Amino acid sequence: MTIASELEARAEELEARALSLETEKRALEEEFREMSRRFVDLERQNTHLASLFVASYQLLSSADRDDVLTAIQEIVTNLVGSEEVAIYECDRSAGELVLAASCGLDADRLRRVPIGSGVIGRVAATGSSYLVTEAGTPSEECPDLTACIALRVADQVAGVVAIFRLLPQKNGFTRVDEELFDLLSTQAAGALSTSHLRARLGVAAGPSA
Amino acid sequence: MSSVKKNRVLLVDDSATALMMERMILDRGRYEVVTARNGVEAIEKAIALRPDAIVMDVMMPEMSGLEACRSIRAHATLRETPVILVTTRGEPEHVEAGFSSGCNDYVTKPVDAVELLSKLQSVLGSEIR
Repeated sequence: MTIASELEARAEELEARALSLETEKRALEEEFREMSRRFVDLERQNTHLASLFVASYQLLSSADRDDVLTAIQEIVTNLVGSEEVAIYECDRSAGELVLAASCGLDADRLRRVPIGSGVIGRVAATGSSYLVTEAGTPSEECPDLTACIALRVADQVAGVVAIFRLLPQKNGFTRVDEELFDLLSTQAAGALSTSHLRARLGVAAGPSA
Repeated sequence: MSSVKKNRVLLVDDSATALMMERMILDRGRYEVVTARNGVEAIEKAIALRPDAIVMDVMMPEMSGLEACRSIRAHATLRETPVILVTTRGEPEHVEAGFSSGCNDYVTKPVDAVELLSKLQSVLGSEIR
C-alpha cells in the first residue's frame, strides 16, 4: 500500500468517524431538547398542584371570617390573576347578596344584589357558576364580569365570588383556574361557614400557621 | 450526597398566598429560601442574611418593592444583589418603573414557575439544580 492510499484510507476513516460523531451530537441535542421539554412540563404540573395545595391550605388555615375573605382575594389575585374581585354572602331573609369584601372595584355600586337578578344574582339563585371562556362572549348585562363562582355548602349557596377584569397579561382562564374555582366553590364556602360558627360559639382562632 | 452550597433567595411579599406559592416553586431542593413581609423587613433581612438574590413583590404596605429596590441599590453591601420584581402589572410603564428602581428583571403574577426559575438562574449565573 502506498503512502497516498494509506492517507486516503485514513481520511475516509476520519470522515466516517466525524459523521458518526455528528450523528451522535444531533441525537444528544435532541435528547437534551426532549429533557428540557419534559422539565418544563413537569415544572408546570408541579406548579398546577402547588396552586391547588396553596389555595386549599390558605382557606383551611384561616380561622376567622376576615382571614377567609383575605385568603379568597389573595387566591384570585395571585393564583388566578385578577385584581377586581367582589365576595358576597347570601342574606336569605332579605333575599339578597351582601358584599362582604372587595378589591379594585367601586364597593358602593356593588353593595347589595337581589338573589336572582343579573348574572351575579342568578349564580346565587341557581348555584351554577358563570365563566367567560375563550369560545364564549361576556354577558351584555355585565361585560366586565369574567367569572362568578357559587360558594356552596352541601346544596345551599352561601355566597358568590365575582371576578371582573383579568390582569392585562392574563389572556383567559386555564384548566388550573377552573380547578381553583371548583376548590373555591366548596372549600371557601366551608371555611366561611366554619368561621361564622366559630364566631357564634365564641371559639377563639388558634395561632396561625 | 451533594454538598453543593445552595444559593440563598430572599422572597418578599405581603400576601401569605403569594409567599407560599413562590416558596414552593423555589424550595424544591434548589434554593435556601428566607422570607419577609414588606420592604422594610426585606432590607433588614437582606443586611443580616446577605441573600444571593431577592424576589420581591411591587405592591406592599409600609415600603413598596420599588422603594425597597432603590434602597438596596443605594446600600453599600447590597447594591450588587440581584433583584427580581414580581408585579401584577405587566404594561410597559410599570415594567419601566421597575427597571428605573434598579431591578435586574421582573415577572408578572400569576407567577409562572419556569419563567421565575429561568430568570433567577440568569441573574445568579448558575444552572438549575
